[in-house]
Amino acid sequence: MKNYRLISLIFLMTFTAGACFHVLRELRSKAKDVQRETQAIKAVLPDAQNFSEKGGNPPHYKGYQTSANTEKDLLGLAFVTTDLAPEIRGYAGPIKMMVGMDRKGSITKIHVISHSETPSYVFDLDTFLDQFRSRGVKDSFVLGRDIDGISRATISSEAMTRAVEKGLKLAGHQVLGLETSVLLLEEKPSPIEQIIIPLILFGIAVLGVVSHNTIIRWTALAGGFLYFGIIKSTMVSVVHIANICLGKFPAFIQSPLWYALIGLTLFTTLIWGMVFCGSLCPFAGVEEVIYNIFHKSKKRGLKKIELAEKLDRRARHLKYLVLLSALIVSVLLGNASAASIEPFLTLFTQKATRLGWTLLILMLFAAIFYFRFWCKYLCPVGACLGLMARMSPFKIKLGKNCIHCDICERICPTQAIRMNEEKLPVIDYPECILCGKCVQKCPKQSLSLRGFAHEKE
Amino acid sequence: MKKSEKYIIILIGVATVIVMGVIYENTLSVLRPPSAKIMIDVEKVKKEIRQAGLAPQEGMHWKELP
Repeated sequence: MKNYRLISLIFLMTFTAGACFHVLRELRSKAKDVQRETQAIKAVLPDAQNFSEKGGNPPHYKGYQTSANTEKDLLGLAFVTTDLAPEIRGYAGPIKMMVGMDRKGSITKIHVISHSETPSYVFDLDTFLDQFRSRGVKDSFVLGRDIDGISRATISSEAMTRAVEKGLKLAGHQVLGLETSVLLLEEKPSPIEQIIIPLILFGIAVLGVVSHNTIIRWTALAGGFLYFGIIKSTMVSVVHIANICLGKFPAFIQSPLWYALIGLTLFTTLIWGMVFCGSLCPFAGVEEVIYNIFHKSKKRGLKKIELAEKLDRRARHLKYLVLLSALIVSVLLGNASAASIEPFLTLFTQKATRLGWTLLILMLFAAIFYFRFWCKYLCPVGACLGLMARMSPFKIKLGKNCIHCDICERICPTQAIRMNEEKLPVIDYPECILCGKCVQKCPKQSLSLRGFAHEKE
Repeated sequence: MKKSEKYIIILIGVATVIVMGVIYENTLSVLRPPSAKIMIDVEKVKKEIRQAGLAPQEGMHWKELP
């Protein structure tokens, strides 16, 4: 498809422009930071009448009862967590909080200045942060024991807890001269399973692609559903693409799964094509199961519905529009949370607005009648990975002994194969999920996965 | 155009609108202050209850602090 070159160009330009725009904005935002911090100090030390400039070691603000600004009038301190604990980051980057503390070293209030965490995961920040009130420099801040984390947002909860604890004890000890309890700063190494299991799953998926084996492919899909969907509630999302554009990466030690998932997805897509979409995506697996339940039986199953070829081709452009919209909005806001649109998040976290739930129910309903409806017309991740899949050296390629039987076109579940004027199959690689059905069913075994394919588009 | 094709097109259209709506909602949640709570205007509620002919205690909406 000639359009793919244009779409790839538009995407690359948007991505690059977005990254540059974000860098420039970050450089210019320092003046606004001061304003935001001023508002935040008033929120965390509401009884203070007067505040000092930020200064000292560690950097902090002082709040005074009167305008005299003497030590007698000192009400408390306020500090920004990213000043005192810059190395601690949330899932999508630093979480900037203003923490107020009184003279005895107890927290008065915490005000979030900015964060890039996904809104559906950190719905109720206020309730979470209220737990910290009155906790002091001698208290422990163990997540799960002293502090209840936010369900399904462990990395965000842990980052906020550690940042507040470190800042509180540093400021309490060095500024107020208070005795503090031991600061548990050791980085807990994340379980190695977050690297090993994705490696195994991607290995199985690639094996399924290379061997065109449906059982191996379904094993990978089931593994992806169980591990990425149920256990970890994470998958490749357009939020990741937006975060990469904004240069926001979590710390490797805290979230090796992020790096394993994104790295392996990019690697397998660039080498073989749509491996993740075709063999690992949990939501795609759910869609396929729903479709197969209703279409398995030829007698009792629902009739296959297809759009006319021209309409279908045009409708598939929508997912590129969704991708670009999500990316542009994220860049303009400087926050990838705007791109959190996939029904996957709703399905596996059960957290969404009414519109989010409506979208999920609609997509599951559409999956009854249409194979991978979300993937084909709306999935922004599929759109992005599809553009990369065009560059993969290994592709399903046509051999010389094609007998023009059209079986491959009819059997392809995503209509990625179309016959050209010479009645030869042309494969639309960004739409090909590498299920291998065309290779299995070809009577002359004319189709096979080969390296360094040179397909004319 | 077949009926089934019309239904798919309508479905695609509705889904696209919902996706754009979700992006809009996410944008609003990012632009809102992170720690914002929805505040009830107590004075406004009291006025509306008095206009309805009820005393605040009868409205059972809040306890007046001594």
